[in-house]
Amino acid sequence: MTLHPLIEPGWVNAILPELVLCVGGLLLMLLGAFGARLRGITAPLALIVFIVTAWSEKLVLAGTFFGGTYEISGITRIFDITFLLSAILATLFAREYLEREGIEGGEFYALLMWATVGMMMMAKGLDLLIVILGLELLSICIFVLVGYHRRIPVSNEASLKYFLMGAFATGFILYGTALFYGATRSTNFTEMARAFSTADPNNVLLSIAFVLLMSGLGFKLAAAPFHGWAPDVYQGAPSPIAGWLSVAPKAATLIALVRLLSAMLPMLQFSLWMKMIAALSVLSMVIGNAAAIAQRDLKRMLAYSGIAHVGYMLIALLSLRDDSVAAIAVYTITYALMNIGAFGVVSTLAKNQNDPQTLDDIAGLGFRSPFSGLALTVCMFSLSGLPPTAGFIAKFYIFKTAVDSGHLAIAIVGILTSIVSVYYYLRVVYYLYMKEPAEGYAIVPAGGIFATGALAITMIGIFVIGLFPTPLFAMAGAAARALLP
Amino acid sequence: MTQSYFPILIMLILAVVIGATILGLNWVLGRHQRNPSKLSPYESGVPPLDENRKRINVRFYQIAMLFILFDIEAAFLYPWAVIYRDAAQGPSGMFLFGEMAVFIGLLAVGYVYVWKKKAFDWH
Repeated sequence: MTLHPLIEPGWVNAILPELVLCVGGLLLMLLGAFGARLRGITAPLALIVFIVTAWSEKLVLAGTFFGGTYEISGITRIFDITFLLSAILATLFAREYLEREGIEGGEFYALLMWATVGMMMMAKGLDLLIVILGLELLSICIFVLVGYHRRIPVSNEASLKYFLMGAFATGFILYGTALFYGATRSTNFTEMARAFSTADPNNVLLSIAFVLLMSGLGFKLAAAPFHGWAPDVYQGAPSPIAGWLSVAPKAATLIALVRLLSAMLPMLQFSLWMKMIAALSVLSMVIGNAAAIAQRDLKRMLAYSGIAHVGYMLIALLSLRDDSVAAIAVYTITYALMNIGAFGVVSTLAKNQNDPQTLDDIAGLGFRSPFSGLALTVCMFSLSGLPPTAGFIAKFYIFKTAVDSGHLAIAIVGILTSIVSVYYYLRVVYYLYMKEPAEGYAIVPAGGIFATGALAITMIGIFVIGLFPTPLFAMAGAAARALLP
Repeated sequence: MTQSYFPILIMLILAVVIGATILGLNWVLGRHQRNPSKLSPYESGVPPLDENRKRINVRFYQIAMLFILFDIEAAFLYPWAVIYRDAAQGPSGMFLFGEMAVFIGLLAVGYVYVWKKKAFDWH
């Protein structure tokens, strides 16, 4: 029985992970409203839903669905796992954090689930409209999650800032999409690719459309010069959410960008568009790393370092080949582990959330709480890209793709700026172990079993990817070869 | 292509010129009286009672927001109902029915949620 011409048989299979997450979110939301006494089990339930979703990925068959607007393939599976990994880590860190702050509720985890659905749509959408729909679903959840500390002014400010600027950026994306539709008569990537193969590279309409779309997506990526919101929003957001926000939405935007750019492949070599991406990349690396040096607030420092990391990931977009897409996939997984881990340690510092979480708070922390200190150290080594951590391997492959495809100058900028970044990452380690805390001011991490487990996962993940990267790269490489024409 | 927009440019210029002329003549020829009734928002209307920038209880917004939400649900039902009668016999009848069932189901869950959260209670 056919339901509708655009609904192929097996459609339930295609969106099974999304369905599980949507229903799980609804259940958790109702649980938050009905069972006020069951507050303790919401986080474990959320974890179960996320793990069931990850398991349901195995049941999903590859193919295109819904009239060629939704594609499930190896690369979307890898990105789905990245989103779920980030959500699981954020849930683990949020459990005790929210309890300590007295704001725990089922809605928090429900929003996290729906945001994950939005990101899955962005990764799988073969149509710009699906991507935008996913992006909006994601953004609306982020606006609420960032302001989840309802009674804390900094959090409200962050939420409002992100809302106003996010709405503005969405306007850019929509306008760009409308112009693309005007120029190619379609929003579908496959049909757009057909139009691009014969399009005039000097078409003004297409250039304006591309610039508008890149500005909007650059905002979502927090790539310089569209990065202004990032430090303020990360500072005000609950720390587990700040970590998640700095990773998962960026990964979703990057995979959507890969799809869009691979549809434009025939045009890209003629036009100046790649120069725009190169400019975004270089600016992000330079501004992010230079500004991070000046930060004493840990969350702001990680925000600027996140801007720099987007710069590294954009390098791989310059040469759109299978190895560079694989490098992006591996980088986002690695980045999820190390950045959420770093924000996670910050989230365990029992401290008034209105105040900045400064370097002085972690002075001597390595001796007061050896495990937290070790975890933060591993994350910092990985973020700065020192072997044998995953950060080194991921960065190495990114720069290798740049060198292989002849973007030597950008690779050199990347390597130089990442040498600069070692200074501010290792300054954290210096504070952890070689700095005495101020008199009578010693903050002890208040993490429980959940946060400890999450830190263990990040550390194991960082070392496993760092020491045995081959299976992951083989999987990502095979998936990327299937993605690109 | 740009030439076809030329009449719009002329119209814009004309609109500015005519507007400026009328306002300018008014200002030059008219008498300038500044008494309280002249300066009130509506010269021959009801005198204003109070400031218009008062703080309003946030509950008004909450109720208004929820009202709009469920009002729009009803607005979405109309076009669906218009189409459904003919389409129900066709191949996608079940699909249309299922879509609306999911839509209403989701809103019902939301309704139960806000009810249980006491968003409809004034106090």
